[in-house]
Amino acid sequence: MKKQVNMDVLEKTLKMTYQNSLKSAEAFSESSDWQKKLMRHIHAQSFVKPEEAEEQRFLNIAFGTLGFSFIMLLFFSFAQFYYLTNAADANIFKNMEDTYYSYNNVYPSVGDY
Amino acid sequence: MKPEDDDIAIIGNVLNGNIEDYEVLVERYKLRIFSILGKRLPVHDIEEAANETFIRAFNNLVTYAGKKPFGNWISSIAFRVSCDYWRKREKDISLNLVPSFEEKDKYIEWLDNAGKCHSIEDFERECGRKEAKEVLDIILSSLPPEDRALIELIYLDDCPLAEAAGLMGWGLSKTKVRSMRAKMKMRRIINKLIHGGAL
Repeated sequence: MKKQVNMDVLEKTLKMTYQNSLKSAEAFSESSDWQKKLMRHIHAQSFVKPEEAEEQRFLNIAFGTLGFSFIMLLFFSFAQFYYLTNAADANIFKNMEDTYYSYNNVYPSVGDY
Repeated sequence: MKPEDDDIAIIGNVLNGNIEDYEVLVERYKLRIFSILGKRLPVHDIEEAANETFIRAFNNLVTYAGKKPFGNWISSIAFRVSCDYWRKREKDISLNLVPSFEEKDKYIEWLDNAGKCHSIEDFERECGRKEAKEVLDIILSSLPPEDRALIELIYLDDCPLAEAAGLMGWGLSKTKVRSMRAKMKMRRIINKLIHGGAL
């Protein structure tokens, strides 16, 4: 038989367990060793200066635009290729037939091609 | 001068090369960062995560636009650090999530009792048991990192939805929907634990 548990009560118990198990933040942050180590690490970091960041941003935008243009170029080339090889053929024949009709008042028969 | 204005002045100094001034920010916000990480990570990894938070903040100081207070900005970094921590350990955790038969029985018994608490004494007794922390760890570890963070923030920590959304860097409605789904997932995991299914 399936056990029935009151989920709301169970969640409340889990919440109390969570809150009881919290560690005191002060106990950790008071370790001066930690802060010294952090500042040593920060000093050793190669800091990104604002002008370098600006340069990096400019490069990112430039390469992004270039990449996007290239992808669009590829897309339109394929679209044009597809149009020329499929849809365009049908239109060309339709136009030829219409022209023939305007001169002769009848559509061309198979033999006229 | 408001503390936020002061922070912006300090950040300006740091960006101009006075790296020592960053220590003022560390001193000012370390308690907040440790309290965020202390709630979410195992004791032995808290210091390292705090280090990572302050280093990430330092490396991205240029991107801080001052639109929101520095405290909120660095808190959201701490939050992401804690999510990344659990994401990195996702695979190791899933291997350790299979309890033995005896453990399973103990957990089922605890879940059964915990769902029947009526008085404060009952709650205190059940919360004090060793299984309580273990079951809580299993449930939280079974959730994806972002769901875990939401459950901890909204349901276990009683953090307002708007604040949680700010910390997660999400919109209010997305946070609401994701937190509801996370709660549903948590309930499914609890049900699986109770009925002995695989997690």
